[in-house]
Amino acid sequence: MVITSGSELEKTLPLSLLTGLTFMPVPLYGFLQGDVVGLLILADDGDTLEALARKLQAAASLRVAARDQVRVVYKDETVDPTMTVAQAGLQALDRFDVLSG
Amino acid sequence: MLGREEWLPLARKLDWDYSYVREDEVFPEVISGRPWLPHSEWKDWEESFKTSYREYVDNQYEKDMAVQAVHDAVGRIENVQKLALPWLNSLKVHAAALPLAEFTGVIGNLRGARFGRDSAWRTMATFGALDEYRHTQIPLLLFHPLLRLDSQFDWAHKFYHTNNWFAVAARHFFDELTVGQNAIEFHIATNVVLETGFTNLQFVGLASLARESSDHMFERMVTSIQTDEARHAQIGHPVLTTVMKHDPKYAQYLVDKWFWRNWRLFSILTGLSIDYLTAPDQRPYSFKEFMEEWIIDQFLRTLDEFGLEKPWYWNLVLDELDIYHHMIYASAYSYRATLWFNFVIPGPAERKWLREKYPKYWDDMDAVWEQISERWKTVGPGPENELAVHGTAMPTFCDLCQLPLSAGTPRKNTARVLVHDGRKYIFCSEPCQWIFLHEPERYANHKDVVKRVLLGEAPPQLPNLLTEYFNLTPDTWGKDVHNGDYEWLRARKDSAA
Repeated sequence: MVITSGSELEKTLPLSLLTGLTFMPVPLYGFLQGDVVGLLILADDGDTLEALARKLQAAASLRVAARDQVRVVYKDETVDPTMTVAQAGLQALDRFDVLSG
Repeated sequence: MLGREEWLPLARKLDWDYSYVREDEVFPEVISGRPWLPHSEWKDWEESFKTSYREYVDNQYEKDMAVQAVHDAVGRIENVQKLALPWLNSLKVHAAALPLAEFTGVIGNLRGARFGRDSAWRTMATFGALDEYRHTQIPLLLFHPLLRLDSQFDWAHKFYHTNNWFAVAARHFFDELTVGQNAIEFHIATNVVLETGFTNLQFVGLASLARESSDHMFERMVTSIQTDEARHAQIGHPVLTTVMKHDPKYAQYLVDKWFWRNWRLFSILTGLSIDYLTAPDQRPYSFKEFMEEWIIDQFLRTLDEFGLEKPWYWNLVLDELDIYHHMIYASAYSYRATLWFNFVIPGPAERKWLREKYPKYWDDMDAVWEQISERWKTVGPGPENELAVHGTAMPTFCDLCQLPLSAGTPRKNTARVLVHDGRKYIFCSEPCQWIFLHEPERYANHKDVVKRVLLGEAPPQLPNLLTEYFNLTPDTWGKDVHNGDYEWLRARKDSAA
C-alpha cells in the first residue's frame, strides 16, 4: 500500500476552516442541488450570494458539475444574488440552498 | 433429586417481598424504567424458550467448537487473502462496528440482570450478557489477527475509542441504546426493535452474502451469533406486552424512536455491504429487496402482534430504501480518507444493475458517479492522485444521529434547522428532529464533529483532523481499492484519445 504523507495531503487539500482567515467567517450549511451531502461553507459577511453560490459549487465540484445558471434559496425564498450575506440576513449555522435555474 | 421440569420453574421464579426496603428503592424507576409498576404486574413474565445454566453452557460450548473448527479450516490469513477486495472492506466495516458494540450489549443486559422486574427476566438477561460477551470475543478473535494482513483491521479494537465521525455516530447510538439505558427501554429497544427487527434477520442475510462471497468464516460467525440472538431477543417481548398494557402511547413512542435510530445505522452497515462492497456477481439480492423480504414485512407482523401502529414516518422509510444508503456511499467515497476502509466506484455494469434495482432516483445518483469518474479520468489513476479525487470542504452531520446530512434526494436534501433554547441545531430528517424534541435534555449538549471544529475542540485542518482527531494514519485512511485504475475508465480514456 502506498503511503501518502500528511504534508502531501495538506498541499492537495487546501482545507483550513478557521485559521489564516482575514475576516470573521460565518459558518453556513450549504446544499447544492444534485449533491449527496450538505457542506460547511465559511462565508464572509460581505460576500454576495452569487459569490456564496460559487463557493458552494467549487466545494462540491468533485460530485456535481458547476452550472452557470443558479439561484440561492434561503428560508424558502430565492434571494437577490447581488445582496451580501449580511443583507440577506444569513446567520451562523443557517441553511442555504443553491438550485439550478 | 428433582427432575429438570420440577426445579427449573423454582430456579427461574425466585422473587420475594421486601421487608426492610421499599420495592421502588430496590428497583428505582430511573434505572428499572417506566412505567413503574409493582411486581404483581410483572410476576407472569414468561420467556418462550427456557434454559438452565448447564444447558446454556453445553450449547455454547458446542457452538464455540464449531466456530473454532471453521476458523481452523478456512479462517487463516491465506484464506482471507483470496476474498474479493470490496468484500474484504465490508469485513473491515463489520470488524470495527461489531465487537465493542456487542460489548455495550453486555452492559445493557447486566442492567436487566439486576434491575429487570421479575426474576425470570433477570435470569434471561444474565444469559443475554454472556451471549454478548461471546459476540464481542468471537469477532475480536477472528478479525484482529488480520492486522498482520492489513493494518486497517486494527480498527476492530480501536474504532469505538476514537473520535472518528462514524465512531461518534455509533457511540451516540449504542451509548443511548445500551450503556446509559434503563432496563425497560433497553430490552424493548434492543430485543424487540434491534434484534427481532433488524439483526436477527440481518445476520441471516449477511450469512448468505458471505456464502456467495466464499467467506465461510464470516458466514459461520454471523450464523453462530444469530442463534444466540434468536434466543435472547425474546426477553423484550414480555416486557413490551406489559408496557403496552399500562402505557401503550409510551410503548409506541419507544418502538417508533428505536426503529428510526436502527434504520439510520443499519441501512449504512448493511446497505453499503450488499450494494457496493459485494462483487456484483455475488449479490443474491439488492439491499432494498433484502429489506422488503426480511425486515419490513417481518417488522410489520411484529407490530401487529403487539397491537402497535406502524411508525408515523413509515412511508419515509419505504422511500429511503431507494436512496439513503446510495447518498451515504457516494458521500463516504468522496470523503474516504476520513474512514478506515477502502471503497470502490460502481462501474458501468454495476450502475446498470443499480439502475434496474433502484429506478426511482438512480438518474441523480448516476450523475454523481459520472462526475467522480470524470475526475479520475482527468487526473489519472494512481495512489498519488487519491487526494485529488477527494472532497475538500467539511461535510456536515445531523445533531441527532450524528451521520452526514445525506437524507432526502440529490434534488432536495431534507436537512432542517431548529432553534431550541437559543441554540441552533440541524437534523438530517423530520424523524431525527422529532426524537430530539421528545427528549431534548438527553441530546441537546452533544456536539457533532462540525460543532467541535467550530468551537476549537477538533482541529480545523483536514490532515490534522484525520490524524489527531480521527486516529487515522496515511496507512489506514480509506482509499479507492484500485486507486482509480479501472478497466472501464481506461477504455473510456482510450476511446476519447
